[in-house]
Amino acid sequence: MTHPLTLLLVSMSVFMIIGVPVSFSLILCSLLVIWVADLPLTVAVQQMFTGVNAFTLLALPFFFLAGNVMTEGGISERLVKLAMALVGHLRGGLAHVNVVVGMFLSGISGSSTADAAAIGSIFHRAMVRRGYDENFAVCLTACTATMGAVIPPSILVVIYGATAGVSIGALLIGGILPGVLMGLSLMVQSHFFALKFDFPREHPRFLGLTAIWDGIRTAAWPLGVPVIIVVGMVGGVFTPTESASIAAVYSLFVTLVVFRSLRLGQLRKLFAETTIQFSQVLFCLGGASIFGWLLAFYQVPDMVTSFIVGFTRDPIAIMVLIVVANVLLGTFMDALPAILIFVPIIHPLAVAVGIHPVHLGVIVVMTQSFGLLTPPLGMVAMTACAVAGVPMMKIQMLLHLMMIPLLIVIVLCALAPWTVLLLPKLLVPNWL
Amino acid sequence: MQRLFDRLERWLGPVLAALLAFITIGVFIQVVLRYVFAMSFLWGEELSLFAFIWCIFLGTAICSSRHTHFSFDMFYALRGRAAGVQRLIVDLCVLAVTVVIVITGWQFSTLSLARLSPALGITLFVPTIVIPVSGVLMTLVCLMDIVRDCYQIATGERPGAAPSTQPRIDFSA
Repeated sequence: MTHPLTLLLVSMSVFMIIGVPVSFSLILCSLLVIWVADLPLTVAVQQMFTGVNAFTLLALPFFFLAGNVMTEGGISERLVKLAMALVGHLRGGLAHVNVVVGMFLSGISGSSTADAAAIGSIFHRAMVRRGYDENFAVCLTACTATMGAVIPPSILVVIYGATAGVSIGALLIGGILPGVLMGLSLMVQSHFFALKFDFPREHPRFLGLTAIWDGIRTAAWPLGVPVIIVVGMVGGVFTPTESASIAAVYSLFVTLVVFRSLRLGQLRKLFAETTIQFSQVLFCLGGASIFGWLLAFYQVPDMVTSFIVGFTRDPIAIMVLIVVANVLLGTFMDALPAILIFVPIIHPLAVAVGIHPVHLGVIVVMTQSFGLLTPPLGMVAMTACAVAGVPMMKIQMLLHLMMIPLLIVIVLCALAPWTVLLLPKLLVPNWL
Repeated sequence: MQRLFDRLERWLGPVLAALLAFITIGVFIQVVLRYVFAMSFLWGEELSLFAFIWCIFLGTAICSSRHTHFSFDMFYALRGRAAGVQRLIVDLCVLAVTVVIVITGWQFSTLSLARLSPALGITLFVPTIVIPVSGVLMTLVCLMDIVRDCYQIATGERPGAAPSTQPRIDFSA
């Protein structure tokens, strides 16, 4: 008789490898164990139901909705004008603009993959026309898009908060500074690329404050989304779910009434597609709740914690271990299943050695969105390639080179907790 | 059969859209009422949550019929009969899950008949019944896939739509 735990982990891996969808693999391996261990089968459905029956999770559909409405309403072009006025005069201007627009967009949509599609479709052709190397444009778009999951709103953060039981609001605020650092690191890198390959400037010198003011006026409506989300939570007035709902209604108002770029008739399809997108994510979460319940039932987190704490109790060593493990995981798995499966195990470990839960959460989300770049399962890199029509194989070398600044930022944030905790401590101290 | 499922999506699509619209407006109005008029309605929260759960389980049935659930495509290079066999194994695994969801989901929702929601006092049957409903839909989708797999194993060709060569993009992460 095998131990139920062995059965759980081995069968899950087998199901996933033969191609059973992640959600069904999670449920099926849990069902097997429940059946073998003679527990009541209704426990599975009950855990699945409890897993998704939480008001905080309602932030997720709203983040999806706001992002979809804004992208469909064609707000991306408006952000370009502001970014152009801010950084267009630098050498390699379009590359910098790509990063800055990516930063704005990640404040509007919660998904890195959606950002990669949006940024790629705006910038790829323009960059190639201005003499940028095609592979550089694709790689930069992919790297830029990884900010999407770190800067609020973020879908991965909501999932992380729900899985680990950490304040989603604090995690969202904590992601701001690391996300901006990721963007800055990419701009520094673009600068060196621009020197080496002599990329053009978009306009000969700084356009001045009036141009920036013009840009702000064009981009003000779409940029209201991140402002609402952050200010709503910082004021201590709204919960993350409530600010998300206001952001969703606001984005509908902007596209339907202010810009009139979206017609009422389009809404039905948009709403239905949004629902299908988030239902898939939350069905996975439901499956993972059964799985997580079984892990807790067999005291796996305790076992792992006491095993690793036996070697070292040094928070820095544990943090390095967690980052390395997450980078490896991110290489072989998508971000969502990786978070759902492994966070219940590493969260208690980190808390046991004194790592702050919010710090851990932001680092895990950063590392996992970094993992969205690495093949064979790099959704963001694949999307950037698909939008540009460039085969994955051609960008491998360059992509691995261009990921390095992001990795440096991740290590920096992992080793210096204040980079993550500074803003939540200042702005929302009672959520920490 | 395929026509039936196209119709399923045509019917379910507006339902999902309406549910999401309901959630969005519901939560928004509640926020406005609470902060502007200092009125609080716990039951609004509860209704939105019920609609949310309905969205998840009905939406997931559409994901099944579109085959867009996340999975690792390690066998994407397989063609013809071999691909049919691999898909048959996968679909049998999925079928096992959906059948269990139908049976235990029904048991669970009948058990919840007697439990009442804290704010509204509605029986918890209302949000839980969607689990077996979605299970039935997913079972039907899965059975049809199994028929297709068998056909593919027998003839080496997949009936119905041509396999898409488009790279799949999903916007979840």
